[in-house]
Amino acid sequence: MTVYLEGGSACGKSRLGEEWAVFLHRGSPGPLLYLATMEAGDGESQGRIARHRAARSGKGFETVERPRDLASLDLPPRATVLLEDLGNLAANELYSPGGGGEAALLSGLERLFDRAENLVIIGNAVFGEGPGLDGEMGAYLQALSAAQSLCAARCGIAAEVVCGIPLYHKFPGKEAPRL
Amino acid sequence: MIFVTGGAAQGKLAWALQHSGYGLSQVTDRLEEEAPIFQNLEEIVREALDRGEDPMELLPRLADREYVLCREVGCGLVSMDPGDRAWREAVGRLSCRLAQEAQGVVRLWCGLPVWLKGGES
Repeated sequence: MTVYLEGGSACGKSRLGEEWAVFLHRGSPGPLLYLATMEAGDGESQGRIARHRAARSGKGFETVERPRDLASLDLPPRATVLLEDLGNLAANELYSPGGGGEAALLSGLERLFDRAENLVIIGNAVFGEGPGLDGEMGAYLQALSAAQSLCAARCGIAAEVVCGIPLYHKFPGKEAPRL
Repeated sequence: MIFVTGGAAQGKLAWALQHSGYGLSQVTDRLEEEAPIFQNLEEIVREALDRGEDPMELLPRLADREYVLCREVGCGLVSMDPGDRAWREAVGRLSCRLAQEAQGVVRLWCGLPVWLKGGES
């Protein structure tokens, strides 16, 4: 089963993602992995990592730090994977030394879809304001949009998270009518 | 309490007035004023942060309102300014809490109410 959850800052998407991953992992013989993409740089990101780690503790996740290059990740068989998040992964592929750009971002995700037994992916709603695609962040927004569209297309379930509440835009058996 | 969220200028106040039957005289954006409709919560969060207070402490002063309106922020690129980042995260967390405690949660989108919890969902 594959789930894509997207939302803005502090909307509750991480918590919902953890709940989905734990739910999907129930009865599965494979490991429950938290694929962490954020690189601990300044104090703020260290604090964010610590907060997420505390929220996950006791839920059975094994943390795998993987800021980029998902394509060569040696994933154990039948893993349930929570990937958090696409905004960081895209930034790392585009701007970090050794990053492979949009191509590596997309091929890494494809590989993850092919290999994980269950997959929960957290995306970022960053398109609601700001300079648009003409600004200096245009390439980043394009790459992130491509990655998130890929995830929404490949996942069986896709939701926007608002105030901690999932707004399911795609759910098995619940399809928009053809007009 | 019905928690009303949505982006800027999406029709939150117009919807709350129509849904409640109240007029503008029953709307406030000041904590010290009694009124059934409380709007612009995101600005109150910014004021609390500026005073060095925890915005979660606003909760008891909001829970007895009939409608609490808060702009949905944090759906743009992460700001370069640390103060702005702290603000959008605080608004997000407080919104999650209010949504938990509310009987109904409505998100306005292009003037259309989308019920996320309770109500006419």
